[in-house]
Amino acid sequence: MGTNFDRKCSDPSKEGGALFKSPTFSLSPLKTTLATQKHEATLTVYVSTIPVKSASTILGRLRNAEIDNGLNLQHLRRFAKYTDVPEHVLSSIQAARRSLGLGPDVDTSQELLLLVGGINSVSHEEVHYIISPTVTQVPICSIMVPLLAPTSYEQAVSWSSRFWPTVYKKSNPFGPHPSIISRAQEDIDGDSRTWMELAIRAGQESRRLGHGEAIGVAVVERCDGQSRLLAVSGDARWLDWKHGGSGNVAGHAVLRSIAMVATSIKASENGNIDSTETACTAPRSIFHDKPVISAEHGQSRASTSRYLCHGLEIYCSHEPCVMCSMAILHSRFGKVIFNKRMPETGGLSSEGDLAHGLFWRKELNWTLLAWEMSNGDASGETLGLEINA
Amino acid sequence: MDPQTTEGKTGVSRAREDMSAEERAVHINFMREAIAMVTLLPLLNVPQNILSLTHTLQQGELALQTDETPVGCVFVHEGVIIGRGTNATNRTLNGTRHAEFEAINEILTTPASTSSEDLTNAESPEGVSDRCEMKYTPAILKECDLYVTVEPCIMCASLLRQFGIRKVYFGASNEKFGGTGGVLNIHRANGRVPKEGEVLERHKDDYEVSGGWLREEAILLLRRFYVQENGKGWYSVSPFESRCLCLIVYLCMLVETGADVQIAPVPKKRKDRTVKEVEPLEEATQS
Repeated sequence: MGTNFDRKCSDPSKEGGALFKSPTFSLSPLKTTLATQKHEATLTVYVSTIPVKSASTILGRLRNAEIDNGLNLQHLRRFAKYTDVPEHVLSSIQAARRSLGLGPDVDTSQELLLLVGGINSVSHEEVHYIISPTVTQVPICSIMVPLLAPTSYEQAVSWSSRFWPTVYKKSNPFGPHPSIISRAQEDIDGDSRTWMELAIRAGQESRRLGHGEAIGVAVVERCDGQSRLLAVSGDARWLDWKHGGSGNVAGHAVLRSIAMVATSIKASENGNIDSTETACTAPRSIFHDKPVISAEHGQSRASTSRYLCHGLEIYCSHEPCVMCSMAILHSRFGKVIFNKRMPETGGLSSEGDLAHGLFWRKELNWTLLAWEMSNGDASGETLGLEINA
Repeated sequence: MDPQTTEGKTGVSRAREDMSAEERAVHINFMREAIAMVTLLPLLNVPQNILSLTHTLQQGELALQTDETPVGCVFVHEGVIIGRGTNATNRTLNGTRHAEFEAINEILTTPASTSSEDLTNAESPEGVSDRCEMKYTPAILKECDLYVTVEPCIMCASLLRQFGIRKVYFGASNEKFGGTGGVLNIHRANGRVPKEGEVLERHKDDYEVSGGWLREEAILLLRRFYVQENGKGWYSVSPFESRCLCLIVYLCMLVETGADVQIAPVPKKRKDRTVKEVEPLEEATQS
């Protein structure tokens, strides 16, 4: 079975390319929970005005005062020209000037606006103390600024026009660094369709045979630019299952693929490569750890670590449920790519109903990269919203 | 996380809340059974139920042999334990084979014909053929309570939610990846965080959770395990003492049942142990 399958995978365009003719195929990295939940969080800061020529003196005094304790405001410009800030900031500073009895006329080319610090980390008096040596009267106002760094250039532009000049530093405080994502995406861009297609097909065959829902999964190992298929599984929640409810939860495609990788390694360790042989003699269990349909496949991994799926790629026809998402983390996968989003039951995305964003959460002891693969109309089956994939 | 402080937010009640002493004792007893799944020490107090002893011995030995993280659980239906499980991630090479999965597998593959006397044979391939009817349907899980030494992880919390469970009693909290209060609250609305001012409606799949049962003992188990990971011993029991213990239990069982029970070999030194060594043990316990 294994050799037959290898041939199939090596030339997917002949047998199964039809699924993916759509030119709209694309990979989009998932957003993390932090990115979706907190990116609009704001902080109130003090802003004042200073003469251009004393900017460096004041910067030194600011550093000495060490007022930014615990806050990282690297994404905000420390100094801003009058022309660079939004209208409401200008009117706030004008109001502050008026309250000090200063006239509205300012030589805006000789003055800069200074972002001093968060109102919780610096007092009004301190602001005054820092700036007062250079000017006699210090207009101080407070404005709202974004608390956390922007995650895209567009966001930085939008925030600059709404709050205060903001810089996008190509970093992502809420998840993987953009360069890591783009490099990884280049790696998988070439053949990810092939693997996704195998996953989708396994799911379709599973449903056709009544084994389960049309959900399929493929596990791929990538070494030095070479990718190798390790397991393909279809959903098996209705296999040997006479009962209703949500079916055999242990028969979800993700769990089966993970188990197939494990059983293949066990089999090869025991010198028993033909895994189908042992399937007949094994005691009955709710786990369907061996391939049961022709689209399915399990192959031993070349290099093994303590965590068998460490760094592997997993392609899912549908966004995995909470259980399967966490199973992917427990198995230490490196990348997960899914086709159809499951807005009500999916555990990976941070934008659905649950918004768990399990692929990248600081609390959990493993993080991995995740993509949603869209390919126009030619994609996995649409499932009922309530189904746990 | 102390369950006491989080009850309001997470819906995890603390152990011993307004409960009668008798009721508490019942829960603590079941939790002891769960702990017994991963320790040899309870063997010193010889249990009345010889079957449970067999299981405990096998499972406990297994946990020792394979360096499994010591997590054990029991499923209780109408006051009777119908399934037991220990963490089996090393034994199966499968990082998802947690105690809860193993126990549910045991429940759902128990053949209907098995009387309580020959439970020891139930795991043999011949005993469980495809034709044989199962004793329990999956619906029984909805009427079960789970006692587990460590808070179920997010994966298992979701497994329990999808299969259905009545109530979960756990020992130690799991702040690293707990699914019932530790990190997420899967038992309530599948972990969805309510918007401000929103009160989550009770969903039909929601289940109750109570934490902190025999918490210290459960933590001690884990701590001993991690000490072992660092190259020190599991228990203060020497290999000789361990073998004596096994022998005593073996003789007890011979006297009680006359059954031909195979005893797993005494664990070797840690550095000599590999996953492969487990294979003969598995066969021994199943034959």
